[in-house]
Amino acid sequence: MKKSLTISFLFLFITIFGFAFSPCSLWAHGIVGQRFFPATLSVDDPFVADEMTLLAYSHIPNPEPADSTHTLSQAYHAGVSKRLTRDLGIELTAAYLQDHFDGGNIEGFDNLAAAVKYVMFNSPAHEFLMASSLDFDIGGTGTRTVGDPFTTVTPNLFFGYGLGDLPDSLMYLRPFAITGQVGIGVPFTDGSSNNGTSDYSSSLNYGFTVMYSTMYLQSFVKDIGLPKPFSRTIPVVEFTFNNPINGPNQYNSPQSYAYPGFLWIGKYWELGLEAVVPMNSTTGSQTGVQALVHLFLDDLAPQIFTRTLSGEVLGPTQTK
Amino acid sequence: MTGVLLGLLLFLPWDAFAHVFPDHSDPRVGSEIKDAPSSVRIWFDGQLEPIFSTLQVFDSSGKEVTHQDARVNEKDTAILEVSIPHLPPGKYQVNWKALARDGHLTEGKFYFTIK
Repeated sequence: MKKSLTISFLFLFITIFGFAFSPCSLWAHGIVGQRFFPATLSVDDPFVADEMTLLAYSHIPNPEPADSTHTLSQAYHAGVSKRLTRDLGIELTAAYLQDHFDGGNIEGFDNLAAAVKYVMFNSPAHEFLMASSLDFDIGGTGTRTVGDPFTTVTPNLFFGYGLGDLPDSLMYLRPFAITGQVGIGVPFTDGSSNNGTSDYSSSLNYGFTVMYSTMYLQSFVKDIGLPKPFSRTIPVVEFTFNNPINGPNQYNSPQSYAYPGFLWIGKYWELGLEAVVPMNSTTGSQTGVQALVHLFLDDLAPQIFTRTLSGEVLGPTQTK
Repeated sequence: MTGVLLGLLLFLPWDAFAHVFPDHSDPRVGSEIKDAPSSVRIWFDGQLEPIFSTLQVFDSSGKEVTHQDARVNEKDTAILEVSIPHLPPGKYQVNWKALARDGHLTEGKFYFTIK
């Protein structure tokens, strides 16, 4: 990696780490009832949390089948989130993008993304919760050739549901859980501020995950003697869909991906590794990969991250 | 990146998760056993705070069947245990709440069956 890129990443890390410890992810984890929901890589889950994505990396070859010169897209994300109350949290995410073309590369920082998330409803007995968020892609904060010059606002709805209340006849299905997200991205531009390359279409973005928790199986259903690390490994498949609903790409097919992979849950952190599988002609035919290194700040520093700004003890990232 | 992740998975110490969860139990989760146990014990993956950690066992009618002496083991504070009288065959539900030393609370339930 070039020296300038290393310095940029060091600056990014310091910035985000500083934010984490200031009184203030698009990745979250949490517990509802006896269900632990891990952070997932592509679909945000319904929790507010004190956590930090140290690095989320994606490597997607030929991301635009219609443009054969676009050979590779790489993205490096980092983010931090902080609860303000038990049900209200804020998030900040930054990304460095590298798009490789036959004729050269375009790279730089994407716009900063900020979000406010609120858990609207939860049912520990049914391992269910719902949340909403308002996400801001802050125009002009990224590198000019990468980040859009305009701000995009995305209201989102989320849900998470664990199948722990299934009957005994289906007890081996109880470790399954699903999460989902749907949002509409609204760019604050009429196209006149477009820098010539920006996509200023509004878009319907949705996705869901299906996961099977070996932790849940061993602890609550049946101890089948799984050894570590398998007893802390969660197989997961994520799906995302991005549909332009107006603007220049209104009639384009949705961008659809599937992400089969595994999540490993440790004491203070989580690791994730998934394939990035295109699901239609818009996303091509070449499989990529993405990975996650994620820290549970409320476990690493409970004296800091289990309290509100006023000092009220929040407890862990867990709904009541 | 993939290699780094795999390396971390291979060489990381398998530490406990800060929200304590059961590692194993006696009787085992979901097990069918012949002999009635004299106690129920759960080994957690982290140390417990005795004051707020509880363990109860119920029969199929919902009646608690322990000696109501649930406690964190003095020698190994990752063990939550309770004594139970000699139980007849049937399905029993174990309810637990575990407060980790760092303040994280978890709870859960599981079943075992005496044939």
